Amino acid sequence: MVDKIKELSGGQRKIDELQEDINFLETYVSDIFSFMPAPLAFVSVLGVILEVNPAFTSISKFAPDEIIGEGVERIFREKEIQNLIKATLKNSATEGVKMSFFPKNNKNGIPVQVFAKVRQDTEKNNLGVFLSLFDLTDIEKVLEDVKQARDDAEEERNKTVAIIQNFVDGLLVFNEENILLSVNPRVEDFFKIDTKKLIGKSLEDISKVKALEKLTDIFKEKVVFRNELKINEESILEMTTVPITSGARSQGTLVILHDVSRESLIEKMKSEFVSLAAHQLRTPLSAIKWITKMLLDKELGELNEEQEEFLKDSYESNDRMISLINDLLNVTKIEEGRYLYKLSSGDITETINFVINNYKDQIGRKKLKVVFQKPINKIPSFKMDVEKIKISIENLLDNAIKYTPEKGNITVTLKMIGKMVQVSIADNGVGISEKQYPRIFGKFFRAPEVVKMETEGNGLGLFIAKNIIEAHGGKIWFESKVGKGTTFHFTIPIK
Amino acid sequence: MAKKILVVEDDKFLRELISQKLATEGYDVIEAVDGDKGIEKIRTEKPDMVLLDLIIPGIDGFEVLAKMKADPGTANIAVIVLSNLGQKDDIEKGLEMGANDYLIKAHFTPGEIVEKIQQILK
Repeated sequence: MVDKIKELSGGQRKIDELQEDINFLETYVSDIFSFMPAPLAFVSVLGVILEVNPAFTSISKFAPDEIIGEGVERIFREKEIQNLIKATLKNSATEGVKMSFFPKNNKNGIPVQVFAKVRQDTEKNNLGVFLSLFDLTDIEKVLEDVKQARDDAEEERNKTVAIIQNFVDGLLVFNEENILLSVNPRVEDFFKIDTKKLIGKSLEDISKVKALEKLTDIFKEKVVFRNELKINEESILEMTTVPITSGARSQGTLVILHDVSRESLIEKMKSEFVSLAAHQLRTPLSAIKWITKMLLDKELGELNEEQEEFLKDSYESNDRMISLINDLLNVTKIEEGRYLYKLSSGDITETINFVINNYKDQIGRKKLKVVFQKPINKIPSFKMDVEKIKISIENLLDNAIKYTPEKGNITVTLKMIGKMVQVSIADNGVGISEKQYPRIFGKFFRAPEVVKMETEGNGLGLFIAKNIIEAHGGKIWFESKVGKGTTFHFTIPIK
Repeated sequence: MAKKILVVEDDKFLRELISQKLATEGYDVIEAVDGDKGIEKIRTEKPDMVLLDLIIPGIDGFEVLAKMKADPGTANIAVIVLSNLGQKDDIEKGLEMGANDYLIKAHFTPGEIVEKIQQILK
């Protein structure tokens, strides 16, 4: 009996212990349930919410007593949640289904991922379903941002590609290793080649393509700015290369090919026109020159003094007309940029002497004193276009003579300064007023003061001189004081 | 015997002026008004010198020059180009093709032209 009681009391103790264990487990589970940061809900097989944890309360904004006992369709789309529960009951678990979740007072819902697990009793009867939610709002937002950024970048890229593809100029993009990255269709038009095959090729490989030989040759130069690239007689391009940099880092080179065929055609037509017009104008002028000269030489009979004077004036006017045409031709050639014709070894001292000598008559007539100061050591000959340098010195000396009153002084100075020769032509003539300074080397410019003094002159002399000197790599400038005189200087580097 | 000079010039006034001048200087002057007549007279008349304009009707002066220099029968005849084409490249082309001199009409008087002729025919 005692044994039986012992056994019973032992059993009772065991039951108590078990009860204790169960209680402990229950609080344990309930603690975990409350603590779980993931929102959890337990839903009956029929879809009634039976239990929620604090995280669920927090995400749903429903207090537990507001939501427990309610149907799940209150917080999910009916169809979605019924499908989920059905699937979960069938497969015992469902992993990460994306669904809309509707917290209190939120009609739009928020995206969540739902994990579901069936709870069964020991007899394997389904008791209900655990639902765990994962809030996707932030992730969706990030994904949205990423997508937006990608779309923006894509759009930007498309825009750039569209610009490049449709640009009127031909464009080639090389990376820093001179590998061709992209080419636009204009390049294909220009060179009549299939450029797709060239992408990814190195400059060296591209230079083997016959049509692109000239382009790659120019590319090798250090600075390429509007270099002429002649494809054939009809099409001429201007090539410019631009380094592509991002910050201080070089990312490659952009080659721009601008079609100037039309411009150069017009340029050529203009040049031909001027040359023809000059020819046409010179013919009657030649006739006048010849006949006047023959009359003046009395080949056609004697002349009285007055007749001879008039004829002389008309002969000189005619010669001026001829030289005006020459000047106009010079200007046209300057504008065509092919003015410097022939560089040969020339003696600057001799050239100056020659020019001064040519003006002997005019100098004598105005009783001017012209001095030529040259260095004791003879300046060696150097490369220049002698004819053109002569023209520049003539133009400067001509001005000095014209705008210096009778008995004035003109000093021509020649000296070496380092690797340059400097020529200065100083007069004590009328001078140039300060407000005319900026225009003095302009085309067709004549200062109002000098127009009054000397009606002749076409305003091209200094323009031509400046272009000649600069084409030689030299500089031209002046100093002047009204009423005191003017000094023009120019330098030419010795090469 | 007077030296024979062929003036190839389409402008009537200039042609008459220079011919008259040359005649007074004692030359035997013949004239041609275009390129085709020019080359024909060079071949038939065998002048001592040709005063050759460049812009003329028919074949132009350069062609006349090329043709006469290519023909051994006329290649040795002296030529002075007398033109108003004053571009350097025209001048060089003329001289390279075998002209003895190249004068721009507007820059020379008839007297100076005669001097050049005399120098060359000396």
